[in-house]
Amino acid sequence: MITALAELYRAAAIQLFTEEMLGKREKTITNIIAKKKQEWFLDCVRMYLQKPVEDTTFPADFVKTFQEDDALFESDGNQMEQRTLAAAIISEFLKKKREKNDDRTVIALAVITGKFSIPHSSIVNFTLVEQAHAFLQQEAKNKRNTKELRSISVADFPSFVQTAGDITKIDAFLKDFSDKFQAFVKKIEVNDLTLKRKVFVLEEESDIHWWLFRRQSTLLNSHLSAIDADIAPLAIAWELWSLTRISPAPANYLEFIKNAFTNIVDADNTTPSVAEAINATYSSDLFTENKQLFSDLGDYNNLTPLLFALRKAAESGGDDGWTAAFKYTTKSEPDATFSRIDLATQMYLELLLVKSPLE
Amino acid sequence: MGLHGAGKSTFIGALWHILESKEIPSTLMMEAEPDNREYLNELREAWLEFRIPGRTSTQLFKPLEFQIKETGKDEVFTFTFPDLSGEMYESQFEHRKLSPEYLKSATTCCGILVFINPDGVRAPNLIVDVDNIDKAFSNFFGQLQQQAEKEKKGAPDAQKFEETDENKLSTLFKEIKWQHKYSQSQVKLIDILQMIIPLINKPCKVAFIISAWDVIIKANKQQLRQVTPAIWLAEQVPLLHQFITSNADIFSYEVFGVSAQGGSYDKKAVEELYKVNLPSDRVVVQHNDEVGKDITLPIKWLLNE
Amino acid sequence: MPTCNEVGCEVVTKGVCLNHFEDLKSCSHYSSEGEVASRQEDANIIDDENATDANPNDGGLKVHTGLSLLEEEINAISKDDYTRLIILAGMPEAGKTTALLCLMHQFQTQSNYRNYLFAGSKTLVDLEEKAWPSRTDSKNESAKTVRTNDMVPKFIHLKLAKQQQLEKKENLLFTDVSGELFKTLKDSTSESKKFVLANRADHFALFFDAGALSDPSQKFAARIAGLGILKSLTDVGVLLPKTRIQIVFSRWDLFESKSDKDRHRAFIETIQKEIHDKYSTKYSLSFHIIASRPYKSTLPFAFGIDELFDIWISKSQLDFNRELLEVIPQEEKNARHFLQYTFSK
Repeated sequence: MITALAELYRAAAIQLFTEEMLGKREKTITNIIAKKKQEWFLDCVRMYLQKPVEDTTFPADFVKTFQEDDALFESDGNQMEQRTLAAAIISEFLKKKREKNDDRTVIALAVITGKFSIPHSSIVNFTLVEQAHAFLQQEAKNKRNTKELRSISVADFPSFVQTAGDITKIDAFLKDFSDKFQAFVKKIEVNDLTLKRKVFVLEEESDIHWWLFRRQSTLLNSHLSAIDADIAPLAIAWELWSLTRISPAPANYLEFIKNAFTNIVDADNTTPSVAEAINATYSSDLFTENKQLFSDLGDYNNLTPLLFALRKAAESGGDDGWTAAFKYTTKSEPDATFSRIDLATQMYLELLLVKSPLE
Repeated sequence: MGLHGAGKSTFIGALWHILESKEIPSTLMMEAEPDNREYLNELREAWLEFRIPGRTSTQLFKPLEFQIKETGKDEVFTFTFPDLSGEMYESQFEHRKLSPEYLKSATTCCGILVFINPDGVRAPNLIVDVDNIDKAFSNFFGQLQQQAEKEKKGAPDAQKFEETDENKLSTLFKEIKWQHKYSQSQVKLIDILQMIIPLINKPCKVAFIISAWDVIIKANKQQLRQVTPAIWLAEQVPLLHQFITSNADIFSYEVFGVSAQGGSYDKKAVEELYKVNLPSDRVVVQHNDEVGKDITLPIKWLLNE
Repeated sequence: MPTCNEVGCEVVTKGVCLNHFEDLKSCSHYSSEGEVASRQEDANIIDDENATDANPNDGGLKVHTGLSLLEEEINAISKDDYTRLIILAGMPEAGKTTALLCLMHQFQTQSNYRNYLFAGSKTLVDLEEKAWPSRTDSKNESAKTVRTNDMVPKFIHLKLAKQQQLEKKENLLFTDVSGELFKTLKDSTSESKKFVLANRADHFALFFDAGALSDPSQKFAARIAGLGILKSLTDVGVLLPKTRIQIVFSRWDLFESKSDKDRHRAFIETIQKEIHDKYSTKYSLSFHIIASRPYKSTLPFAFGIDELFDIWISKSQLDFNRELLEVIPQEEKNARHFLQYTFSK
């Protein structure tokens, strides 16, 4: 870890830190990863992206945690160092699978969705974003790969050779047969699960393929070409999200979104601002009729900026006053413009984060 | 806060008079008379008598303090001048140390008045600029010379101007070695503000008071372009302006033009000041485009949320 | 006994000042006996002040010195906010410090510089002292910059804020180091290896004095010296490919004042070509001509500084300015079609 840490620390240090100091940081990070809960890591993501944290005690706790191993760790005037350490923590967290409640997907997704509209040049140690992206890609593959079926053969079973009256041999044979039969049943069961999993994965694929082939929106009960460009980002993101059965998203989800958008008339003509897109979405029937669904979604606040904006727009009754809260909380500009594909991609990833598909 | 000669003493003298006499209606008032009013009265007297307070007074180096409050409100504010002479701030810049008393003021203050005297601003005038002016003048006189020679056709008494070591002005002066006091005014003020950043409650309100503002008002009358206090700050001390603007998370600021004197105390000019009915009538205070007489305006801004 | 702390000056032994001051008291490096005694007294006073600081009853607070920062002080800057390190390299009197002072002057006299606002500096006192000899108040006959003495790297600090994004502050740290150090680095591999500061440099600005390059008696030596610095640091590997290199031909006003400019320009172009051919594959290179403080020239003040500044403020070793690639994994041939589907429009 020390080599990786030294590389990350270049953002916060001109003069190289000593190995002793890096060792202390490494020790603290190892302890953090073993002990802290998901919410703490989400606040780490917020700190890394320079967004307001959820837990007001987090900044003090962050400092205190590092001070336990290094009494000279400053509590103030070292914001860049703290951001660097937040990045190091998330980076290490993503590397190691946790035995219980492996929530690396949540954290990696939070990094990707949270960085929305932040210029890349403003994000120090951008390698973390790349690492999160690579993790999601690999995890998407891993989750959709199915194991090989276990081979089953008659040869697995012992054959009974009739011999005269040897009870012991018969007994041994029966025991052996019983064991082998149990193993056989287990293999069948495993193969059953494997096949079910495989079917599950294939169904996801075929659902998405079918949606793209038919160009039909189940959500709006209309052809994709009939969807208004203004609500297309939400409609397409939502549709794809409802078809996605496994998180993380399929590795080429962007291609699906792009393909769906080829049907939307005038999608490329303008690049709406976040404010325009949210206002259009808020006032659409699609949103109005499904308001409850949105309010039931999980809340990651400023790590899901578009959903946060929608929520605030709903709270303000469509009044533009939501933009101030949006700007303050997410550190994003409501006037920033994006292509509709980008908005749909962001919305899709945010939906996946706040409500992971039930597998 | 302010360097030497920034106009703090005159301001205090006028402010003390106006608060104590209640000559003009103001929402600010004295909470109680300060115990030791001797120096305050000395400053007030100097102001009433159209003279600059003596600089030899040792009182200049002592902190000055009085309590004020807004009419109808209970909260009382302590108005503190740590050092009227300005020497303390010069010393801070040079010796890089803040006294315990100053530390206490900085950590508890809710606002700062920064005085700047337009006449006292030391700017970064470069020798190369003078060289360029010299060159321009040399070219200009050279051309005049050629013109004259053409007309006089080389008359024997035509004198040519040549820049020699004898007539070069710069050779009349010996090089001066740098000392802290020769630093630019805006640099000193920035550094003094930087020193207290770790101490103050943020954001801290800063009211810039451009003193001797009557001079600028007079100049404005002769020009098409009107210079407000904010414009003056941006143009004359641009580094300070950039500093205060870019640190909006630490400082919020406004700029006021104040002439406590009302005009020059020179023999001829002071005659005009004698004509006022009330002493407070000679005060000039400008904030943005509004010109008035309320010398408490900067303080009111500091006190109001 | 009188002393002179100017490196290489033999005034004490031979009576001749390296900076050609006739009146030795005018030289800031020279101290007569009385001055030495007085400085020692001052040092004692400062020591006493320190002793006072140690006195818990005093309660006063010492603040930043305002002088150039030491290496152990710069991490306090970089720990707090985004920081770029710019090494100003070159032989003595190549114009390194003058360029820096000129940049600072732009901020001091304009409402903004290149859409950036000055947001603070820990080294204002040093900047004022360095700029003093070029100001009219110094009563100097001509604008000067005193030669930097320090062989130990020190740093000048500028904190800037983008006009459209004031909350985003950036620190620039410029090395404040003598040209003699670079002379030493040029001549010694072991010393070059110790210059690990270069590992973290965002920019390495190598100054060539264009006046010397257009002087027949100096040009070859000036060329070899500048190239030698670059070779030394790249050969030992302390200058990494992540560091952007600017080759700065400074004091261009002196070049402009020469006759036979074409011949001199051709010579300078051979230097450019040599550097380009040797280093452009590994390093990001750019070439600049500047005249920080042109003397009786048609070139404007701070000529060429704006281009340099734009690069310094916008590029960094740590930048990742490329767009995040949405990676479509390159699957093996027998991978599932679904996973490698790239839709055509």
